[in-house]
This record gives sequence, C-alpha cells and structure tokens, in this order.
Amino acid sequence: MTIYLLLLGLMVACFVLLVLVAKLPASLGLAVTAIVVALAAGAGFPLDKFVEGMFGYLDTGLVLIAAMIFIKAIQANGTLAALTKAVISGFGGSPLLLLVALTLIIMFPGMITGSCTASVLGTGALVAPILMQLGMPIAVAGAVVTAASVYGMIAPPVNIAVMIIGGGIDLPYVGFDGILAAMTFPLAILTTLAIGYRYVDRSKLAAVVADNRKAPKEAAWTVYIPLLVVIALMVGPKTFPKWFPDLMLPLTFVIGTVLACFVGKKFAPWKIVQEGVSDILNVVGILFGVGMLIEVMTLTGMRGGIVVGALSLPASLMLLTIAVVIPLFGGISVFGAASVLGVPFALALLGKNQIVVLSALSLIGAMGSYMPPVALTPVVTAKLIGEPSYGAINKHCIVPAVAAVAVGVLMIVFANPIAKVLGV
Amino acid sequence: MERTKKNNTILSILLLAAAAAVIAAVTPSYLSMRKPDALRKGPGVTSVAKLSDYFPGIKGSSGDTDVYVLDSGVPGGSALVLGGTHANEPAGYMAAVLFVENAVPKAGRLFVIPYANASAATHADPMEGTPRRFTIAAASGERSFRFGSRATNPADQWPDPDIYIHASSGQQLSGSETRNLNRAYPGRPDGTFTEKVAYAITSLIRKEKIDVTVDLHEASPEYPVINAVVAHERAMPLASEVVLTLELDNILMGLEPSPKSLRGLSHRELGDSTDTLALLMEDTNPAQGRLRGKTDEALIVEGKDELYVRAQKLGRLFVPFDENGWPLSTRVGRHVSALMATFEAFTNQTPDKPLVIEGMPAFDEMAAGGMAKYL
Repeated sequence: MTIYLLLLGLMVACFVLLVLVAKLPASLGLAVTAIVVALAAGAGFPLDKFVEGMFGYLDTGLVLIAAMIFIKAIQANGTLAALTKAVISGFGGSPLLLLVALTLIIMFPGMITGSCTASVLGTGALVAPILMQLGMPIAVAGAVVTAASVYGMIAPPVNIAVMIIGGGIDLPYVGFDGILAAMTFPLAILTTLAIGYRYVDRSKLAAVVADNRKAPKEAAWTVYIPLLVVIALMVGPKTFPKWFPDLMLPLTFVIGTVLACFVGKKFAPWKIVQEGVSDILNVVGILFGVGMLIEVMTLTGMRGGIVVGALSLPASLMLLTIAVVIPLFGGISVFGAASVLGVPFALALLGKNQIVVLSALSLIGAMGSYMPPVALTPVVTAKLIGEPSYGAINKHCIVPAVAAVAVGVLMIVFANPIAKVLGV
Repeated sequence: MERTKKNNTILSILLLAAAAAVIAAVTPSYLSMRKPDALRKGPGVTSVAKLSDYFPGIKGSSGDTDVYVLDSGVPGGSALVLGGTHANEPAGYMAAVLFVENAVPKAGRLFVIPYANASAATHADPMEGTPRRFTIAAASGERSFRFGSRATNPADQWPDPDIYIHASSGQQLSGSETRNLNRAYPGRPDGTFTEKVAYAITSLIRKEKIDVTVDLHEASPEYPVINAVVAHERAMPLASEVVLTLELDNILMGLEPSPKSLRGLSHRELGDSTDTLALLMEDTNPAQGRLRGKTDEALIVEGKDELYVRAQKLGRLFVPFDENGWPLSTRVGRHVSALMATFEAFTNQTPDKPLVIEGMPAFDEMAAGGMAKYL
C-alpha cells in the first residue's frame, strides 16, 4: 500500500505544482501529471495508453462542443432573449414561484440527458440572465444554475451514475423514478431558495416585468423552432423509445444549430462555430487529461490502491468515507467515481435496500461536480455567464452541497425504512 | 497583429504535425488487435463454419466469427459453447480454444465459438490500462492471445445512447450496455451491430437444434455472482447435477437461478426464445476487477494481486483470495471441468441423446499449471 500512497502523493503534488506554480492550464497539468506518474511507477512512457485514456471522454467532448456551438447560435439569432422575456411574463408575479419554475427549467435538460452540462448549456444559459436581472450578483446566479444543473443530472428519468453502479452489481435501472424525484426536486428547490432568494429584489422584479411588457416584440414565434426541435429530439427517444430515433446529443445540437441559421436574426455561422469551440476547448482538454490520468492510475494499480485503502477503514468509518472520498474522487470524474468507488461501496452495503442506497450514492457522488481539479459544472457555468472564477460560484454552493451529502448519508443509514415508506 | 497571426499559424501547424506523429506512432498498436488469434484445428474438428452462415446480415463485418463444428458422426445431443462474449474474460475463450484444439466427440455434436463477440476482441476499454495481448509458453511454442473489451468496438457501433432499451422487453440499462452482447439477446435482424450478432447466435441455436448452450464468463472477485452456474429454469435439473458432480471433485461452484427481471442475458433470453437449455458459467478474473493493482500480463496469466489479498482479508470479496491468486490455468480448468460435467449430466438425464466428449485435461492437471501442455 505504501507505494500507492507515495504515488498518490506524487500525483497530487505534481498537479498542484504544475497548475499553481508553473501556471499550466489544468488540462496540460493533468496530462503531464499522468506522464510523471507513469514514469515514477515504472510503467515507462506508454504513449498508446495515454491516447487510449483520452478516448474515454470522446463522446462527452463531442457533446460539449456541439452544445456550446448551439448555445452560441441561439444567442446570436435572438432565441435566448425572446425566451427570457416569455419566462418573465409568465412567472413574474411571485419571486418564489419564479425561482421554483426557473429551477425546474434549469434541471430539465439534465433530467433527460443525465448530463449536468446539458442543463448548464441548455436552459442554464437562458435562466442566468434572468436571475441577474432580478438582483442576484453574477456568482450567485451562477451558483443557482450550477446547483440546479447538478440536481438535474441525477433527477429522473435518467441518472447515469445509478445506471453505472447498477451495471456493476447487475441491478436493472427500474423502480428508481419515485425515490430519485423525492430526493432531487425538494433539494434542488431548497438549494435555489437558500442560495438566491434573499438577493431577489421585488422592485427589480417589478421593473423587469414592466420593462418586459413595454419592450417591443422583436422576434416571431419561429425563433423558437431550433430550441423546440432540440427538446423534441432529446425527449422523443426517451418518451417513445420504440419508434422515435435517438440521434444522440451531438447530432441533436448540430441540427439545432443548422436550424438557428434560418430563423431570427442573421449571424455568421463560421464565426459562431469558432467562438463555441474556443470557449469550451479548455473544458474538453481537462476531460482528456483526466482520461489519461485514470488510464495511468489503473495501469499502475493506483486506482485499486485508493479503493482498497478507502475500504480498509473500520466499518464505523464507512459512511464517513463514502461522504468524503466519493465527492473528492468526483473532482476527477463524477461518473468515474460512480464506477470506481460506487460499485464497491454498493457491494459493501448489500444488506440495505439497493434502490435507496444507489440513489443516495448518486446524490453524494453528484456533489463531486463542484470539486477541483475538474469542477466541470461550475467551470462550464462560469465560462457561460462570464464569471472569471468558478471558485466564486462554488463559495455559494458549499453549504447546500454538504447538506446534500448529509441527506445522502442519512438515506443510506435509513435505507430500509425509507424503502418501506416509498414502496421501492 | 500580423506577427501574432503568423505565430499562431506556425503553432497550429506544429501542433497538427505533433498530433499526426502521435497518431502514426500509436495506430499500429491499436490495429494489432484486429489480427485474430491463431487457433489450431484439433483432431475433433470436422468443419469450420462462419456465424454469418446463420444470419448473412453480419457477413463481411467484424461481428462474423468462426464456428468450430466437432461432429462425432454418432447420433446424439448437441451443445454450443460460447467463449469471448466478453473479450476481457480470458478463461471463457481460452476454455473454448482448448475444446477446439483438443476435444474429440464420441457421440453427438459440439459447436464452439471461441470469440462470440469478435468485435469486442479488436479493442481495449479506455481507462482500463489493460495489455493488448498475453503470452503463454505453450508446448507448441510461445502463443499470444488478445485481451479485449467487454463490449463491441465503437468502430463497429457508435455512439452509445444515454439509455439502452432492451428491444423485446423495454428494460432500461446504462447506455454503455448497448454494445454488450450479453444484454442483446435474443437479438434483432434489423437491430444494432451487437443485436445482429446476438440474432445470428440465436439463429444458429434454432437451426442446429442445439440442446445445451453454455456461455462462458468471468467476474471480478468483488462481484456477487461468481464461481457459479446461472441456469434458466428449464436447465435447473441439468445445472444441479453439474454443481454436484463438480463438488465431488472438490470444485466449488454455486448455483444461481436466471432472474426473470434481468433481460437480454443469454441464460434468460436463449432459454425463453429457443428450446435450448441455457447455462452461463462465471469464474474469477482479478484482471477485470476494480480493486486490482498493477494491470499487466502477469495479472492476467498468474492471477496474483496483493490488493485483492488485502480486500479478501477485509471481507470485501465473494471468493477466497490468497497469495496464490487465481491463475488462468486453474480458471480455464474449472470451465473445462464444468463443461465436461454438463455433457455428462445431459447424457445421464437424456440417455437417448448422448453427448460424449473426450480428450480434455482433468482439473487437477490444469490446476497444477497444465494448460500450456494442451495449447
């Protein structure tokens, strides 16, 4: 075990030095760290393994790039502005109702795709400007978008972390909708209210609503077509799986982008593509760096060393370990944490109701979305809304996230009574 | 401004050149997995068919694979052995290889598909760090075999949906299971690449009137269904006798009923949609577990891992695991013995359809590292 601890120490020290002292981008920092760890562990310079690891995030990278280009396109053609007006008109009467409605709207793409970035880039981009108009500082608005997107990722009908853990213990993804809904919707709404409600200025809300009414209608209804088509292509395969073709997220966003070129304001498509790729490239780079690092961690045995080390703790510390180690590992990859740690922990908890336990593990794991070095959700949100530091967003999310981890731990402790009450 | 633009152009060209150099350097490593393992036709092999003979829809694709037919010429029962459903579970396909190269049928017919999901053997899973091949110092010389993936190569089926919906039941699983052959049964002629391969195997079972189908697997030591036979309800009497026979030889094997709620698996769907008696056998593979240490050829062949020893002491495993580990030869020996016990039990329970196979090594010899002698 000592060698794995030494390698872990080397890995952390190397990454911190490269990013904080040498000021390398996180993506390059991860890649160089992977190379250093491989050399130190005696694995040489396995170039094919480095490349292979990156392919673990190829699909996610394509989704992120396609989604970012789509968002740029519907910003440029005026869809986002039109939708912002419509939402304010519909829910502007009550700050509470408006925040609840906006939370659910942010969660929606994540619920359908199991991806928090889909939420941030999809509806989060629409809602963030409204939140700022209501009086929220930019970091607070970013925190609301980030937190709701994280809950969207694990809300029903699609919770990929549960599916990954379930796949590891042969538990089909059946019967989770009720417990996941009961777990995520109240937490998401409470989190939004806890982070943002006090910043909502009623006079600003009234002014926003009044301005909204006075503003001339700039766009025809056709401007919504790209967004509606994208939503239909995302929802259709899940709702009517037998006959609705699943075009997958990258192609769905490409179709939306192409449609956006023909409705609303005119824009230069090639410029939008360049901007979109440029804005998201560092996030995609981080994911590829993570893929390299996980490949090396597995190759050298570090991955197993970390898991066995965590499992070696006394039984009384098991819950504490779950509460700390799974979110920490989420800093590298939330879905990686589900696979690497979620499965062994689920196996260690076989005596408890597995549907409740897996739901709770996904909740705890989702809180790893805030963790550095990847911190994918706040990083993407910060990029989207123009907040220079994702740490400023995270500052507002920490307390609700810790509370969510506590809820997850309590769910594990009381898994069987909860299952009885909910009939799962 | 003009200077910056020029510098950026030079940097872009250099980066593209570097990327091209990396691609050129690593491509041979990936493509090497497309070269099939060289198998020897043993004394019992009477013909070699292709899986596409049973469903032309996969002809010419990397899902097509060899079907070794060992026909005794004496009327009797028929069995199908599936190795390589998951190409990262080597005891499964190595046991199938041993049957191809050594088995001699005396009654009935034996069909062996060493690489049921041939596409899965052509790539490795990202982030798993597995070697492309492992080498055995065999009696016939050094032989190397591929260590592939659990799932179909994305080059053949991509991208994965968010959710995999099993076609005939509507059951939902993680999207990555879309490329898992053992979640695709009974398959569809117009389905995905993996569903077509499953459909071809189902068609073979129907056309050849296969009496017994055995799908050979391995599991990680921390997985609860391990060192076990999983049986469709119609195959339970057969599986019970197999487990008892093995126990008499001190080979401990559990017996698990095929869950009716878990769909797409061979032991469930082949049992439901054909007349075959469907069994699935699991062994212990430290090289696919999540608790494993250094991932290399030695782990695959010798099966020793200090982290698993530690995990065993912590009570986290479902199989015993000591310093001796689970060597490949022992694991293959368990599969071979379980298959021989299956044929024997089938003959006992269906005397009018004898299925008699000879020429295979005994478990004790395999446990003593004897696999190399039979390769």
